[in-house]
Amino acid sequence: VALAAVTVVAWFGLGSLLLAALKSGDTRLDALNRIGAGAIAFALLTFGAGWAGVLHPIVYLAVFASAAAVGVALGVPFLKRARFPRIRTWRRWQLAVLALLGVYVALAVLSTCAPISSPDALLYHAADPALFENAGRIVEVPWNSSSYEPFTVEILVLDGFFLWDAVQGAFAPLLLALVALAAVIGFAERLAGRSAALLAGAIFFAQPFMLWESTSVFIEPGLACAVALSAWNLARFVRYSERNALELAGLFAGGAAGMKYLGLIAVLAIASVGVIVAWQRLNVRAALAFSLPAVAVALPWYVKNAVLTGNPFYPHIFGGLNAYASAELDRAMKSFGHGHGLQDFVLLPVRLLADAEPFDGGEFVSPIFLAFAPVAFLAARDRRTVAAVWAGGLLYVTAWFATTQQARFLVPLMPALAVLAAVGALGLAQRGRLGRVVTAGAVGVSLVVGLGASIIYAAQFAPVTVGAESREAFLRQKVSLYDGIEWLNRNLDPDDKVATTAWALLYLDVPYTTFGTMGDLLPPEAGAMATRSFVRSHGVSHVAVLAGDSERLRQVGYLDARLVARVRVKSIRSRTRGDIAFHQEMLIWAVRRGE
Amino acid sequence: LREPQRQISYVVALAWVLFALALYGFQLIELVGELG
Repeated sequence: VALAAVTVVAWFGLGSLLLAALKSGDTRLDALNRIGAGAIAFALLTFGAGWAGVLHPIVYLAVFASAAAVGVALGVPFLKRARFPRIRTWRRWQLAVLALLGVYVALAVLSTCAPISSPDALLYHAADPALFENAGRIVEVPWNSSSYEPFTVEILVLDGFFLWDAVQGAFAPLLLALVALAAVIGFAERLAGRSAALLAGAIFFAQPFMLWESTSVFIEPGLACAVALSAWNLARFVRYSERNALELAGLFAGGAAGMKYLGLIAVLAIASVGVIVAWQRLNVRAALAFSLPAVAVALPWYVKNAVLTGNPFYPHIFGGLNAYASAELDRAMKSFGHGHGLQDFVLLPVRLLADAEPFDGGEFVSPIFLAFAPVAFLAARDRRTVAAVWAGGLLYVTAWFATTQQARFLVPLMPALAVLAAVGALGLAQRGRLGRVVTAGAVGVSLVVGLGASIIYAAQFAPVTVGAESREAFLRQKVSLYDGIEWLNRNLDPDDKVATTAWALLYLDVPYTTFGTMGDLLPPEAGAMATRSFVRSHGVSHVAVLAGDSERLRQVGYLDARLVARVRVKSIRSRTRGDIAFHQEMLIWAVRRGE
Repeated sequence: LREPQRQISYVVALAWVLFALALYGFQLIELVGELG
């Protein structure tokens, strides 16, 4: 936790050096700009060093320590100048909301300190950084098409590996979520005062969905951070015509596009809002001031993909995967939500409130966003700006609806919606007694229900975090097929290489490849020649697949392989509820080399 | 906004929030069952 705090100082230090000529007129925004820009700069530096093959912990630690020293030197005067709120003068409900935010930060830290157990993190968000660390360079990971997404957050996770270990890496998304929270609070305060700020912060962060998001090595907290900073800077440009602010808005928009392809849609939404609210001041200079920093920050990721695959957006838009992997990816993307028709689009608000489970965890999203963000039309003085933000949001949701309807991918919208919802809730409460009662009841019930679910979620991590449960026992309980992974670690040598279908690659200590998870390796329908060629070209010495995986077993049959172990494993459906999807045997085969 | 419009928008906003809460009630029943 202390190193995570120093990480923020180091981000602040590097960001201060880079933004020396790009100061914001708002001190609080300026501090957050420096932290955000520093994080992006650290990721790009590590990315550059990774492709140059000079990734080394010593080099990283030297840069990190220098940046932290600069951060301390520049941060102390910053803090001395800062005016801290006098909470003694606050009203009781404001203190309660502040305490709630404190509880959520504590729950998030508690959950992040546990060994990583989120499936996506085990497959690539943390597993790929572990590969890069071991290789001393950034390598192509062809078996998972998701590894071609822009990887800013994963690279910050890698920085955490250099600093200490995987859990340190898992703090990077949480830190970005906290910067996003600070941006939401800061922006809402500038816009509508302290009450709106606290409420917006609670709506954004005090929900089980965001707790899960920020503690599972996901990318969306980073997107929310970049979008929030871009939006706040854009607002300053609109209000005060600060040219710096427009450049900073572009820089963070580019930062979003450098975290995930989804960030491109967020950039489109931000740019649309900017065009609507500032169209009278639009000219070529303004467009360049926004777009040049955006392109400069995002471009390396797209150039990398163009070089590796010929498609800057691989595997999307121009394709490039084999037919099976492409169909698997398409099927996975379309598998969320209730449907993709016009009727489904119209019913979206109703379903997000009443039946959100098919959106993958959507039932844990706070209902306050949808209940109160539309009410901002009633409360806000500047309805044109509210309409512009809604237009940008609608554009984003339309793209989300047409591509993949995962609730997670709505997180970049949440900073803006939280501010709108806070303004709407306070406006309704000020209109009359009934409005006050309904608002207090709705917000109170949502926050209490959310806190209950959040405590249940975080409680599963408490024993291992405080040392009452061993790491191994925790992983055996929370990670799918972990017993099989353990067997492989115990019995294979460093010069062996296993091909597997297991997802928990982060904990696989021996060299590995997979058959492909929406990636371009060995399709299940591939025949004998392709299977033998795959095994030979990847230097595979062992194959580990589930006994129920008939297609992979057929392919093993093409090899000169002998069964060396049957390990009973379980697949976890829900870590929080302790649900087990199935028990099966993992079959492990030794392949005769030269096959 | 003029007063009648203010009143109408207030009532519409209240109605929407109550409707949203009612919808969330269905979610809540499922959620409590799931976590329970």
